Amino acid sequence: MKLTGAELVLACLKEQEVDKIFGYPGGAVIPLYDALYDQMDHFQHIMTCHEQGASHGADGYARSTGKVGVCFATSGPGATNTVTGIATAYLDSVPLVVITGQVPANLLGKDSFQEIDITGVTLPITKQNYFVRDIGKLADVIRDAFEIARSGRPGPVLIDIPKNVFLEKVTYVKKQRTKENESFSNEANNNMLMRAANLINGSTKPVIYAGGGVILSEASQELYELATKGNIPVVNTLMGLGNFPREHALSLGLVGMHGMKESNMAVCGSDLIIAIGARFSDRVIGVAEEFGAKAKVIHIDIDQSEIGKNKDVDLWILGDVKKVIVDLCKIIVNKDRSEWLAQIDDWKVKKIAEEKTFKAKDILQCAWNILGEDTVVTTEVGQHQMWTAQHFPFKKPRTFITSGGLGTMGYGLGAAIGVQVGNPNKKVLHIAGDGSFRMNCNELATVSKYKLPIITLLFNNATLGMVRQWQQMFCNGRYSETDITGEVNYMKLVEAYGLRGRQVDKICDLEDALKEAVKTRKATVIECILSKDDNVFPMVPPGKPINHIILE
Amino acid sequence: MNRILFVEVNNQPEVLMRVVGLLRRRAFHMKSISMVETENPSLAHLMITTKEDDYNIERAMYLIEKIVDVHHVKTMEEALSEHAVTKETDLYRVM
Repeated sequence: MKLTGAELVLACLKEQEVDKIFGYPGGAVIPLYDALYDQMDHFQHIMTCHEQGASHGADGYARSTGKVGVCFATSGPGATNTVTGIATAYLDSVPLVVITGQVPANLLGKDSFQEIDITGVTLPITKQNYFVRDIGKLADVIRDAFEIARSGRPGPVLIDIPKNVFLEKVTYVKKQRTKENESFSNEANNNMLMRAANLINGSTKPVIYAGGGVILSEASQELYELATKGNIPVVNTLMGLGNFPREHALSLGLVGMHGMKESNMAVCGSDLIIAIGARFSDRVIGVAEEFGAKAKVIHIDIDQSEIGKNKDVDLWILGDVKKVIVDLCKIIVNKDRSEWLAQIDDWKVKKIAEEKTFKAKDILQCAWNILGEDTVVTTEVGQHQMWTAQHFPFKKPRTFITSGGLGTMGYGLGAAIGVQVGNPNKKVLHIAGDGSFRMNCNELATVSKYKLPIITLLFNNATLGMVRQWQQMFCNGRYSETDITGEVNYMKLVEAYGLRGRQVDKICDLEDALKEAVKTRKATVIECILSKDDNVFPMVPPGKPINHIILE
Repeated sequence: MNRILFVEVNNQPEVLMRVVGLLRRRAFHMKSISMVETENPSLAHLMITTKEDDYNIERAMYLIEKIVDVHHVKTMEEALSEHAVTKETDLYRVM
């Protein structure tokens, strides 16, 4: 069967079971969109307002469904607009395939209109990228791209295709997707597994430090079994939240710079840290030597380059986290560690019964009560993100979608669109600060166009809260360029996009607004008015060990 | 002491950029870089001479191994034992 390059791209996407595409048309991809025009019965194409939104959409889709996200963009500015989205996916190990158009081959290297060397630009932020000059290689490149994006430690792959290749014809032979399993040498692992089990069985104060790798490996159930069998408390990284039910007695919540007190103290006081699918990020460990200074460290990960990168470890097991945990769980003993758990309990900050105020914690508690455990939450970056990580009791994996490694403000709304497209029956809650919201609120048009029932909680404190908090604590309150003055009426803005808006400053009003949004299944932006001076605590000052906790 | 990182790669210029870019971002010291096609034209050998210590070289090797178009990485001591050919270039200036 003879197909054009553009038709071939779509045929190969079908091989990979792709049916949702996020993108934005333009000159160099006109042939691709022309081919798509005939295949709208198979593909749903989400046209965003900006390619950054499309790349975040594909990212949110991938994180929430576990499938590979696909994004189309045109050459030049279209391609460069996806760069932040690709970098976000790269830092958080999200499988993405980005297909960009390029100027025709005869115009390459001549500073032609909308020409940019996008494979050069994205070299350091992709797992692999391709420039396809020869149509004969196109099909295999696309197949390889998907395999690379989803295998091992996932990541984004970019394919740059010149316009003439989209138009040329080639014979297409369908190839079914092969589901390969990576196998790791069992012998080395068995030895390591036994040693790890001995360390765990001999430990009186162990702690599991579980990251996003547990979610990528679909190993949440296995983690639960490991932790409950050994009575081992679990601390979570930002990317790991949801891989262990927060309301479980063994869950200590977030660890690191804004970690819960008991989490940070448990790590520092432990005699064994079991790191699973986590990478000892600087935001988690503070000072590497003090992160579990008295503890032995076991590191379980699929990526060898992470072993010993930020923290020396005593023992490591390379492999698919899920398989390793299953094997490990068989050989650890059921051990009573109530003394250790009681010690951790003493570290908890005792709750004082407060009257209901309108603070971030109360707002999030209210949202949790009304929306429930199946809600998928996306956030932007800043104070609201940390509050969500601390106070939203995530129960299931893939319910917390946030930009961890890159810390991309403006990520959340695009991601929420992707989540809702991938999970049409789930409730999607987008939590944003006013600073982040302004960055990509143009995507409200996409929400409106596709009638996505996303609920946005807009935390309006009229400032770039996290930067302001640092200025307050470390710059003597010199608030340089962080206050956001009130020139935007968000309710009118929301209305202009044809969406519902509600401004609230009381919990009872918030309850009403949320219930109405759930009942009507219509996109709603709920603006919550907060004080500028509400800061995120606990906090560990940068460059300090994580047991140097400031509580308020 | 100089050591040589010996990398067998797919014969594409992008690989050179990927490997060198990755090392540059980590301020990896590179005294010389050479990439030559092998007797099999789909493969190339990339040799990077460096003064970095063992720890940095080991970290660099893990990262280089992750690159899709890289087949394997060795340090030259290991490579020499398998009779690899090293290359030296002398440059003379005639006054």
